[in-house]
Amino acid sequence: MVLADVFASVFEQPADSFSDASNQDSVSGWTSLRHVALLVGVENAYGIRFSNAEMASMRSMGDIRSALVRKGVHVS
Amino acid sequence: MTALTFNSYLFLFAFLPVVIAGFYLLTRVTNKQAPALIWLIAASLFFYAVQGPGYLVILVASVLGNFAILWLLLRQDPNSAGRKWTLALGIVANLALLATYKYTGFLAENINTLLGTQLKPLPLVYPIGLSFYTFIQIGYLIDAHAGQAKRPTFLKYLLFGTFFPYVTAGPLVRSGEVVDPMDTPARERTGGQQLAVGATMFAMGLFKKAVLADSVAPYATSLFQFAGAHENIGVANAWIGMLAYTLQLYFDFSGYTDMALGIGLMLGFKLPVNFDTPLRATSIIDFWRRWHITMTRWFTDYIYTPIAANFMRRSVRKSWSTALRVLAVLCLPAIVTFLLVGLWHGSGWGFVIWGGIQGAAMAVNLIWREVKLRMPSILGWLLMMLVFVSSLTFFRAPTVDTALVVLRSMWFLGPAGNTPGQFFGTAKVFGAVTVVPSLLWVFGLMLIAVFFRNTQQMLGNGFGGISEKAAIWQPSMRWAVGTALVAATALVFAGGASPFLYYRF
Repeated sequence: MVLADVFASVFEQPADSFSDASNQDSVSGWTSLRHVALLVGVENAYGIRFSNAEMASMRSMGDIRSALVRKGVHVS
Repeated sequence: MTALTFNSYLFLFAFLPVVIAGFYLLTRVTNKQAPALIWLIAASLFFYAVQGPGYLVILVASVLGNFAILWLLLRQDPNSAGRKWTLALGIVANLALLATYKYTGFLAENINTLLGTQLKPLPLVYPIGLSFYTFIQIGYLIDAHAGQAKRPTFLKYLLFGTFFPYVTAGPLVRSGEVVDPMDTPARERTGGQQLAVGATMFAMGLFKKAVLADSVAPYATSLFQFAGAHENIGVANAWIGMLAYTLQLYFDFSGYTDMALGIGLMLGFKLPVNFDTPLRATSIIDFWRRWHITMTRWFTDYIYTPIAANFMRRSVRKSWSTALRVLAVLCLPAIVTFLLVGLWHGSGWGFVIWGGIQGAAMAVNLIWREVKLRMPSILGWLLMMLVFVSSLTFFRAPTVDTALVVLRSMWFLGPAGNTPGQFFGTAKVFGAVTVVPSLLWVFGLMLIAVFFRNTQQMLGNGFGGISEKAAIWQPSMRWAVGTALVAATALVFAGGASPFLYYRF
């Protein structure tokens, strides 16, 4: 499962426009509501659950990737 | 109240120059990082100690306690239950400290009203900045728990928790914004350009506070004095007074923030931006992206996101109807978040009502945005102003009753009042200028707040000055003379007993 695909579907932009540096400031349309949709989308895509503290502290694609890696998920 | 605030002569002519000179000396005579770091910590502790008796004990207890919890937390396995419980303990301990000093009086008052008891509030004085350094440190704990903040050394954490540019009124920094830069030697983060840009930013902030904010303050004070005495106000006076208060709050707090960021820059830290011309916002969502940005960010990260995500998960799992989904995922998290934002500002029903109005307006705005409705920018701006300025009555008034007197007058529900000339007759701008030019002054300040480039835009959004294309600042004679004039004017008006409005929160 490619993480950028989840981003692409939430933000309606091509997957290759995202990198680990993508965050709320650099991606247009990354509103607080979309942010929530993104996190829940990632959870569903990988079949995992983030804790409240994890959700509060993830602000970029890199943050989300490292949180997934810590959960033992293989992310490409 | 306090003698050592950013706009006091003691701070401007003694404390700040000595701290900066000592810091530059220490970073230039030795390659070791510890002496300069200890210097800044000592300066910060001194700065806080003189804010009030006993305050330092609370700050030091809070910072040492948080460091101990952080140390304990990071020793434990990332997915262990022990780590989760340590985080919970940390959050509860922080909130308990805050609640003891900030909310017991309010709680006692409400219990007394409800049950007819005679509870007395604890005889405690609220230490300036407690709300700020408590929330900054809770943020660190949560980020560290989630693996998004690294383990600091004791000295670095001590500076993070006590740093004088933000300890009294923010910005609400994230761990990485203060701790990470310290990986780079201080000498590389400081120099002529940081001093020049930082000092310019500081001068602009002081001007906003001492000249702009303090000049319209008497209008707001007059309005609320008359309202408190239940005198007739009238629509025009209510709006003039409330616009004056809105401008006072904006220039006071954004001025304070410019000064904080300017000091930070001179000492090698780029603290996060707090204001982005908020009074130009064209919706309430837009407004909260531009006003007190680091606070909105804190509440979005740590309160709104978890609540909204939990509801969103549930709505998917249980296939809720659209109406229920709109209510639970869009409206409720925004309303709950802003009620807490209100309570964070102070313990009183006025703050709760003010927060509730923001939350309700956000909910309406969110729905509006989701169904992709549009309105002309000018209408959006007008609506934002009407809602925000009206809501500030509850934020400013000492009691809900007084707020309602002003609000009724604003919305044509109060008795007619005198002409503005008679009404504001005693509230003269700069203590001298008469009323008619004063009304123009409020209008003029509004134009500045809406149309002028903001400080960051002048100095570069990353406030790097000449290295940034967006910046109009140049190390030129024109800028030097301009900044000197701004600073000189500000210094003439500074130094009086005018504490920053956000010192209360």
